[in-house]
Amino acid sequence: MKIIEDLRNQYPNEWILLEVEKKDSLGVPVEGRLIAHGQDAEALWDEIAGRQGQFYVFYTGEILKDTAVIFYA
Amino acid sequence: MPRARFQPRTTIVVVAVELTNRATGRSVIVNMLLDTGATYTAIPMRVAKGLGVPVDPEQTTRILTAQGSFQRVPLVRLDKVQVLGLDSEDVEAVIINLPAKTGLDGLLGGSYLRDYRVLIDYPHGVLEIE
Repeated sequence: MKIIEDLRNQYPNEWILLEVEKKDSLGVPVEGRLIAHGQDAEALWDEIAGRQGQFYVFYTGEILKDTAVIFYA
Repeated sequence: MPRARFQPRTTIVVVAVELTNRATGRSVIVNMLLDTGATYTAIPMRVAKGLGVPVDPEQTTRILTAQGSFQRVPLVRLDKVQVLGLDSEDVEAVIINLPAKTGLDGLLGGSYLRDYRVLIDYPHGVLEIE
């Protein structure tokens, strides 16, 4: 079992893939089983394919660092 | 009313969003940018593939890109989208090019938000959805 906040410190600026074990009342994961981590997000998503269950994928670094956003969709 | 906190006065609001594909028995929680200006919820291809969401090349829609040009992109359906414990079923989503270096795995847009009353309190850093 890994606590999400610990992972942020342990693996800075990496993508993390967890199998979710515990969520808070708003559905945000707080604990899970570490499956994979690294710089390559695509590789993490390849790890999910073929598995069943509930997973959490997140980046431990700063989101949209030095980037302004204008999206249209 | 479900409520999440974010950094007060920030200009971006990121939310944890659970996406479920019943056919594969797989759900993934990802971080998405709340985008009230977007028509659709949007995910990159890596997320569609990971979830096992079928992408039909014949099912597309036209989007206006940030470069000011139009582009046809795949349109898919997500079995369930959950935010702050609130579910929407059969949510349309477009597949977009969203680089991993953004730290994001999608945009939460109108195809989910239209079912809810959404309050964004930027000065206090509060997001409420009901």
